[in-house]
Amino acid sequence: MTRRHYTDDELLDYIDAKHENSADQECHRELTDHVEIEQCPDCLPRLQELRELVRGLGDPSVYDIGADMPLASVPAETKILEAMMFARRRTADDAAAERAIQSFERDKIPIDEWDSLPAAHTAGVLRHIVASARADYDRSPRAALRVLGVAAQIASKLPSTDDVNEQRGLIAKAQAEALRMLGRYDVALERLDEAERYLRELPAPEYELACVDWVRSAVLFSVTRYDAALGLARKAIRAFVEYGDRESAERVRMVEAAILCEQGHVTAAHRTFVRLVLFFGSRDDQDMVARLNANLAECEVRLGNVDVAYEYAHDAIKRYEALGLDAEKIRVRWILGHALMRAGAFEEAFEEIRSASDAFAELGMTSEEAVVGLDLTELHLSRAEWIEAHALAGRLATRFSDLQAPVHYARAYAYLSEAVRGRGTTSELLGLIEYLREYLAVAEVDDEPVPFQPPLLH
Amino acid sequence: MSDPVVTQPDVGDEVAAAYRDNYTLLEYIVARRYRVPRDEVAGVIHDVFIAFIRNLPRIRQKREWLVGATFKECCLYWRKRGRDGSLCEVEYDFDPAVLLPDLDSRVAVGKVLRQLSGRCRTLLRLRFVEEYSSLEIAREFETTVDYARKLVHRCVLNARALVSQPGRREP
Repeated sequence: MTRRHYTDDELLDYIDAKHENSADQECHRELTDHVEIEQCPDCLPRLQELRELVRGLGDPSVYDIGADMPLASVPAETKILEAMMFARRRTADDAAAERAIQSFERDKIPIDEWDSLPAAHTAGVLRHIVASARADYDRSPRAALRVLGVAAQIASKLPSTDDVNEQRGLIAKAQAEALRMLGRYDVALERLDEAERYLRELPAPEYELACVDWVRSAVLFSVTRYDAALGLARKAIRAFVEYGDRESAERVRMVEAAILCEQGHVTAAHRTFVRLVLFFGSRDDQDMVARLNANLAECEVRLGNVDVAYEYAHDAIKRYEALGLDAEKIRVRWILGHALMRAGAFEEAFEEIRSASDAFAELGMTSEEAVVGLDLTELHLSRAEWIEAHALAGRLATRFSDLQAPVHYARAYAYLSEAVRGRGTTSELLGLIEYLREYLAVAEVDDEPVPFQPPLLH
Repeated sequence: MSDPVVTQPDVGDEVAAAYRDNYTLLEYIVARRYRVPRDEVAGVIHDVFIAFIRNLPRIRQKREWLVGATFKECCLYWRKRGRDGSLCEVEYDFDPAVLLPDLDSRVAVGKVLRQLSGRCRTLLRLRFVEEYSSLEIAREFETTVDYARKLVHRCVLNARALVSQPGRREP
């Protein structure tokens, strides 16, 4: 028996069955002398097209459009012109800024003097400064901070309020990122509050605010406020997804996974990092792949797979070397040093961690240097090298005092040096080092630096 | 051999094209989804475009970005007026890439409805929004159930013809 295709009317009857009451449904069964709709290459596409249309016709909002709005809604030409001029002005500003900066550099005018040059008082120049400072975070966060300070002075003098708000907001966010690299977390959080205040004054600022949440989450992570950091990371991820910005969402997801790892959800974090390596690898983003491999190395250490951790760490170091990202390369060596220390390979661990300490000192990354110093002292104590441990802690106390680093660094190391000299038991001294690690992690979160208090003796 | 002259696309033209290409869609979101008062719709969309220009170097998926920004700006609009939540929760946690085909289809259906006769619009609204049965439509239009069903079908098929051929008038 030849079975025939459904007509459009019959297809609509078929769809109608869902809308009709039960009595009517008797009329709308699949017709026995017809092909099976869901199997038919002719009927199925027509059925799907009609279903889609009927679904649209079931949305009350489309009737509003039909009734109230012009057939082809078009924007006012004045609005389009305004937007075009705004976009062109920014592009022209950027081009003029590039020319101005070239001339400042040709005349060897130091950046600290740009504030006095009227030609530097443009949003384009500030965008240029922020972009260069961002590129400099890794190699020289202090220099980036100095340059951003000049930019902030210039920004307050811009003639347009929107430009002032936008540039002050973006500069404050950039300062927070540099401060995070320097371990000055409390000031970084203040700058982020400032960034948010300025950016909120702009029309439709939610995208920029999501970027602020992202940085704030990273700062809170650095000071071990994991719950708050996780909440903000997830908020930023959601916002980026809502803007269709998958790449930024995945970048923040790396922060989220790092937080989960610190909270003890190592396997879940590992799974996310592996997925992200595939995502960023497919985009040939070597920097992100290096970061993710460094994080995977840390996860593997926590999971007890030291050999695998080595492989990830070496991969990350190779990529950072190729990219010229020194501070990041040092951080990976530090992670590797931890892996070796945990595996009991003290000689190799000491080499890795000492080289990380020297390199951090060279870059002026005091906060990292202070924490790495605790690792080195711990290594000496693990090998019963009391004299070396005492000398190292004393040397670091003097160094931080000379550097005029936050006062608690010097005090903490002076206390440690004395404790080692007093020859407490190894377990007591290792306990003290752990106490100092926790102290250094939180000592700069509050508005005022938390004064160093020796631990209570049990 | 001389190098061909490479001209950079003008950012103003790029923005104008984005404005024209997406305005109807954004207007639908602002005016219909979020019911922002008519005289403020253009202002909300313009703010979204100003933010779009500010962030242009970072934006890869332009249409998705504009849709996402419009949803967010509408929420902000109502939040500033003390109507937090009720309108925004519906759209919470959406992905514009997933939502866009549906939104485009709604805008297209809206345009088509405008081209249909008033009688067809009423029939389709009663059938698919108010969920009248064929019997109820027959009563409303004082006709038979079979004819009521045929009327609805004819309107749906006319709408389909207009969707596939946007310039065409209702047959």
